[in-house]
Parts: sequence; C-alpha cells; structure tokens
Amino acid sequence: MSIRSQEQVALLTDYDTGSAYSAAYYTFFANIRFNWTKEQCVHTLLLCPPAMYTGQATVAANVAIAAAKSGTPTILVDADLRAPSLERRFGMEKGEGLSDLLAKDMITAQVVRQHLRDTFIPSLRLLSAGMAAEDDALLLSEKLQAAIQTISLCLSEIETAPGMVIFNSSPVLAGPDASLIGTFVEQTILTIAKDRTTRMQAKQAQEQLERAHSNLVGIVILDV
Amino acid sequence: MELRAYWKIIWRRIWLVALVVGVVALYVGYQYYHLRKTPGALTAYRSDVTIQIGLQSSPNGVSDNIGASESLADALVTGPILSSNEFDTEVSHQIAADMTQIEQRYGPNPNLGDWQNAGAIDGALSADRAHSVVIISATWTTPAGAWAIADAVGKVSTAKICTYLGYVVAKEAPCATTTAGSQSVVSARIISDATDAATVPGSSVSKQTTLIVLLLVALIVGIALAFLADYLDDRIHGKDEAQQLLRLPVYGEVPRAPTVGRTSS
Repeated sequence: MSIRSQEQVALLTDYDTGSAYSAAYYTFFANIRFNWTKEQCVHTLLLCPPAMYTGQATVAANVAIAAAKSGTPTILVDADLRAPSLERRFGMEKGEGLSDLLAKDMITAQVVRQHLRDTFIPSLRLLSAGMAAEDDALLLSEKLQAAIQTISLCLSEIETAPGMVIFNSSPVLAGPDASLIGTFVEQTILTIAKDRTTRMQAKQAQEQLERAHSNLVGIVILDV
Repeated sequence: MELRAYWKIIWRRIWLVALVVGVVALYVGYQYYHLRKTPGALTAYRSDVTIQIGLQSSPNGVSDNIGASESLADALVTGPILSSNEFDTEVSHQIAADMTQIEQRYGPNPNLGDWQNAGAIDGALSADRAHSVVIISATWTTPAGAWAIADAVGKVSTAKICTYLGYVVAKEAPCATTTAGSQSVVSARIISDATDAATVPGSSVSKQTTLIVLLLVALIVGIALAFLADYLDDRIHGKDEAQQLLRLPVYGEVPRAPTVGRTSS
C-alpha cells in the first residue's frame, strides 16, 4: 500500500461509526460546539501541535469530518505550508489554495469560493495549502487576517446554518505560523500527543500562543 | 489519589521493575537450585550422644573429684580435642568398625555421606556440657551418617578419653592405664546412646532468607528505578498530567487509530 493510499484511509469515514475512535472525535467536536458562546454565523478554530506530530493533519481532517457529519458546514484550511498533506488525505491532486489566495492583490469571497474544493463529505470543503506552499513567509502577509475573515464570510454566504472554519497549522514551536493564525481565529486548541509531546514543548507552545494573544481555550489528548 | 498516581507511574514502568526483579530472580533461582542440590545445605540431621566424664580412685576426696571432672568436661567441650585430626580419624575408623551395626539399623549400603573425611567429621561435631555431663552433637547430611558419627564419638570418647585428656590432669592425677593407689584415672561413660537423627536446619538455611531478602531488595530497587525514570522522562503521559501542567480544559481524548476495518471497543 502506497503512502498516499495509507493517508487516504486514515480518515474518520473509514472507521465504524460505533467505534471508540469515531466517538472520541464526535465528543471532541461536541465539546468545541458547547464552547460557542454566541450564535454567530461562522466560528474559526485552529488546531496545532506544540512540536512535529505526524498525525496532526489527520486530527484536523477528522474534526472537520465530525463537524460536517454533525450538520455544521465546515471549511478545512490547510495552513501548514511547510508540510501540506490534507489534499492528499482527501484523495485530491495538488491545486491552488491558501498560499495562492494570500498572493492575490485582493481577497474576496468570490476568489475564496474559486479556491475551495468539495470533498466526498457533504458540507465539508477544503482549502488546501496551495501551489505556492513552499513560500511559508506568505503567512506573515498582512492579508492573513483579511483572508481568514473572507473565508468566514464566504462560508456564511454559501451556507445558512452556522458553520466552522478549521485551520490545520504547522507546529507552534516550528515557526510563527501557528501563532499568527491563532491571533486571528476565535479559538485555538493545542494537540498533545500522549507519550510523545514533552512537558517543555507543551509549556513553551502555550507561552508562545499566549504571547501572540491567541485564545487558547483547551487541549486535546491524542493516542490515549 | 496520591497512591493512584504512584501506581500509574509503577504500571507505566512495570517493564523496568520486571526486568530488575527478573534478573535477580534468575540469580536467586540459580543459587537456590544449588542449595537444594547441596546435601545438608537446607536440611541436616542431628544425633546426640551424652557422656559423663569422671575420675576414678582419687585419694583427695569426692569434692575434688567433682571439680576435676567438671574441668575435664570443660576441656572436652571447649578444647581442641573434638576438632583434632586424631580424634576425628578415630571416629572414622570406629564407623568402619561399626558398619555391620549401622547396616542392621539403616539397611544395606546406608548413605553415610563423606564419613571417611576427618575434616568433615570435625565440622559436624559440637559439644555442650552441664557439670561433668557432656552432650556431643553430630550434624550431618544424612540421618544414617549423623547417627553413625554420634555413636562412634561416644565409643571413641569412652574408650580413648584418657589419651586425649591425660595432659589436663597430668600434675594432680596423671593419666595411667592402671590405678596405683593414689593416682586418678580419667574415665568416661555413655549416659545416653546416640539418639535417632532428627531434622535440623542446614548450614546454609540463612542463605535462603538472604535470597528472599535479595528478591525484595530487587523489587524495591526496580520501583525506585521506575520512579527515577519517570522523573527523568519529560513526556506527557496522560490527561491529568497535561491538565495540571497547562491549566487548560481537555476538549477531547482520542485513542490511537485502530486498524481500518477493525472496530475498536
């Protein structure tokens, strides 16, 4: 089995809905949902690990699947420009995405819509890392905040029900990307891999996100 | 709660505890096997013979005889007589002479152990006294051997006591094979024959306790190593640890992804 096909099957939809694995993701999404204090149209969420974790993209993808299957229109954004992998996980070819969006002079809902790609899950759209993904300095662009706002706006235009934009980013300690995105999203959740993430990494990541004024609301423990 | 946390640490590093205890258990098992295989190490047999030392035909009165007898008994118990090569060789020869009697008691070809070794007989003998009564114990690896040695010791003591204790009474009552009026003769008589061999703890029975203690120490060391390893390990091992460290709520706990197609419980 190739790497590509392995990545494709490691999604929530490949598991029995009654399994503990599936239930854990639905519970995770439910807890995120409970934390929505106001009934605004679109909520933004960043999921990021303190340090390199190979299953990070899967976590973001599975939460997005759980959200979409729970009836919440969702856009999954691959903001890990250093190691983009979400489009492969959904079995898609490399295409334009976030980095291309940030490279545009003007970011409008129309442009965002052009970059969104439907997945095999209804109500779940993917904004991949993009063709210019190698240039991770794009996230330092002043247009990041506008891009996030426009993606949210776009979702609210497409769907009537309250939706969610989930960002998958590179590790917090690997660069400023996660902190930058965390500054502009509504909630940030740190993913802690049991028996892998060290105390020092977790603490440093927390301090880094707090320095960036991210709204770090909680943690999710993986591989329990 | 504290105990549960401690148990979690031990359980997480149980392989370390098992490794230490396992290695020590192998050593202990090997040592115990050798103890079991070594005759007399864990279980030995003891037979006692009781003799009385005395003087004959003393012109100095009964009280002097009693005092001298006690001194002679003391010399037999504390002196180098029982451990002398000559005495032990005599015992060995006596056993050879008594073989028929021993076979009658314990059957043909009785297991007497290393009875021809005078040094081994020396190590088997111990004595105690009450006034002029001496109890000589033979502790041996086999019951037949213990009885044979005790019996032979009794016979040698009674027959050859004058030879071994002659130097003690040389000034006051020189040992003589014949009584010459005023001279005293050292004598010994068996009060109680060699008893049936009784089971007693072997010479290495304390080593058995040491081995058990060693296992306990290994367990304690293993647990201590588990705590040390956990202290040095900086990784996050669970929800409580993460919560305590970051002071943030846990939104979810996701298990390891099962093999696709297999439903995890």
